[in-house]
Amino acid sequence: MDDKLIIRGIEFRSRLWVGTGKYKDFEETRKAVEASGSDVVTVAVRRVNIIDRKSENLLDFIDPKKYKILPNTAGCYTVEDALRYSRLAREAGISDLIKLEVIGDEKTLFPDTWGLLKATEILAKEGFIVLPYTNDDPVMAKRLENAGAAAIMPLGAPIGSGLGIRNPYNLKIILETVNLPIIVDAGVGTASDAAIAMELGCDAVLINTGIAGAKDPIAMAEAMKHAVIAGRLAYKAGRIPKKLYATASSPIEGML
Amino acid sequence: MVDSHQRIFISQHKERTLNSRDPRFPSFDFPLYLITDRKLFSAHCVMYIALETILEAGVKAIQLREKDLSVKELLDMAFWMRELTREYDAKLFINDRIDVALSVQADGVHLGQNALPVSAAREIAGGKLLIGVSTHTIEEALKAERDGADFITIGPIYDTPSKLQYGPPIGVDTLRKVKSRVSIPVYAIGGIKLERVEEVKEASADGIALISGILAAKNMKATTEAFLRLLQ
Repeated sequence: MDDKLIIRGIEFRSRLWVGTGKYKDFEETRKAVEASGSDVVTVAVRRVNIIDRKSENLLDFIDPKKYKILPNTAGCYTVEDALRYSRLAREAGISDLIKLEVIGDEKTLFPDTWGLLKATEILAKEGFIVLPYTNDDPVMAKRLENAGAAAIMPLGAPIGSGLGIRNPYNLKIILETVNLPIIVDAGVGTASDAAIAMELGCDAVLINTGIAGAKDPIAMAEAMKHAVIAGRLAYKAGRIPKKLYATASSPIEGML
Repeated sequence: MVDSHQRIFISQHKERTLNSRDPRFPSFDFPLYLITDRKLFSAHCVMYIALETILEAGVKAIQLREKDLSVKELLDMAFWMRELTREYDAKLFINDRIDVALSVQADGVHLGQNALPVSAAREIAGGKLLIGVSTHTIEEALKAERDGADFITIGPIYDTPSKLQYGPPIGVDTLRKVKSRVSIPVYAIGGIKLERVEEVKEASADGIALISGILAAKNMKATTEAFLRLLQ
């Protein structure tokens, strides 16, 4: 079955993408990434060293030949900062891909969508493959598409909250109206949340805290792997319609 | 020698022209004195970007304080810090290493208690550098002024992780006493948070020095602006 996620010609083996924050050390990060089966690893350029090869560097643990490194601008509160870190990641030879975050509020970590739209426009013009982290807002998702985003990464719930997919209806509208891959970013707390996102028809799920914050991150990474595969298969298979009354599992019509 | 990550920084700045004006001083027009700690960042160039954010927000003086670097590495950093601070018309101070300060045409050198004495530093630098001194007691503060320092920092005023090695906090009372006995500018340092700025100002500090107060803040730009507003 050929069911690969492709963004701007780049093929992704896995529909589960993972983050690298909040792990005990780079070794635990490596194990969790491996258990998740993911081939996409997102890294906050500001917080995790992937640039200076002389100091302890995540890329000594996560082989960039085996994994696609997706730099992100977590912790950026202004357009200028987001642009600078994006360019830094590209100039360091990490990737043309950028998971663009422009944070609007320290407490909720909700995106500053005005800044996000501006930064998306600028970076897309500079040839970046921009994956903006945004609200589950269909209008903004469409605007980001028009600004040159390569995929849309709406939140399921606030970053690190583990609240799951709070507004499946908005995600459905985004899936219907935006002609780009939709990757749920943030909010996934456990395996069923990931499955729900995939059953809705989302193209991938990005999880960091949901795995890194679990009691056993390695086991949760594996659980998420299966949930994403299951959710995707269920979406492709097409679920039965929901009905109020029973229909017998073994019909007797035509048997007598 | 230019490191690869510094080359990245350079390429981001290649469009900018070198400003070769002479540094003008002395003038203590900076109420906020930012001190670096590269260990709070994932790489050197990441710190440069953060410092650029802070300079944009209006900080006018930075001290490069990276005590554990080799002098060669420090010189590299100092060179790029000079470029950056010049662009934003901010002063650059180098911690302890007067040779590095002179070499990159920094505005000043900032001496710790175990560094070169002020008199020796003055002998070397003449009028080319401002000389700041870190002090932790009234005696050290008085001595720094006697020796010819242009300004001092005093602290730790409050508890702070980065200053634990200098003993318990000395409190604003010591700051007030120092201010009443020296006439050079005094910068309060150590654990100063936004809500403590008022108290430090009341103790008549000429300014505050910060490390993690800004560099470990989530939103550096907003935090810098908030400090500067309170210090106005």
